[in-house]
Amino acid sequence: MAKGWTDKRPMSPHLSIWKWHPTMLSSILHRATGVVLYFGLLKLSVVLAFLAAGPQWFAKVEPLVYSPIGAFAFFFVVGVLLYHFLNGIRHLVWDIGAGFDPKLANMVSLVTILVSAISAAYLTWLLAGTLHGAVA
Amino acid sequence: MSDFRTDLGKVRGIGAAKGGVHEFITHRVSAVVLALLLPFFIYGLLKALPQGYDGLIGWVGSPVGAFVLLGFLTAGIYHGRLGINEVISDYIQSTGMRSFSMILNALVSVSAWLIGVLAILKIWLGA
Repeated sequence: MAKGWTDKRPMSPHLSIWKWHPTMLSSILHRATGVVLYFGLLKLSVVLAFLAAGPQWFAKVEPLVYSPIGAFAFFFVVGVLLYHFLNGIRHLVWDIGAGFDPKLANMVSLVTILVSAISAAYLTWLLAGTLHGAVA
Repeated sequence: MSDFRTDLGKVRGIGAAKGGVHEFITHRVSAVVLALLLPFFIYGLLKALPQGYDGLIGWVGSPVGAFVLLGFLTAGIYHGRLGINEVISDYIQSTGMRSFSMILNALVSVSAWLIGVLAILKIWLGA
């Protein structure tokens, strides 16, 4: 990270020296999921373009959605989306100055991660039949 | 109040960026828009996906579906572009590479937005 950095003065501490704790994990995940979602939106645009181009074009991208890999991608992206959504609401609450108690914040971090993973699994299970490739 | 800044620091322009309030606020406003639209987006997706091509066309072609998708894509790409810019300014230290990355980010974002919006409008207006 400090490549090309010529300033000899001490830098602020980086990831490597901190002890892992839930709010740190949720902060890193928020940024990572944000980057994933940006690429998810690019994919949404491309799929919409193929959809608008007609059935014969949509057939080319259909396996991306209706396949076991598509089902896994759905689970992953929806989980990431729900996590970023829930943790984003927490960030908005933080912005008004509430929710900073360390114990509560750590608990909310773990609950957010669990709830998004479980909800994504449930939503994927709802679609499991169709995402398996049944739809023509 | 006394001034703690050094003369050299002032000359080099080191200090607060004196900008970015607009980005800070609109990042959060777009977050609120996305949070409001997300339940509709997921509901529409869950209803449309099991019916394949026809289901998706029906969703994008409906007034509510087109509205939700246009709003979600617009607020999403706006919010995402600001987020990626923040990541770029955090991790890329060379000014040239940083500017290049941010311009690339702008081009990719606007292109993706245009592609998505034109596709939605084509389906909706043709429905």
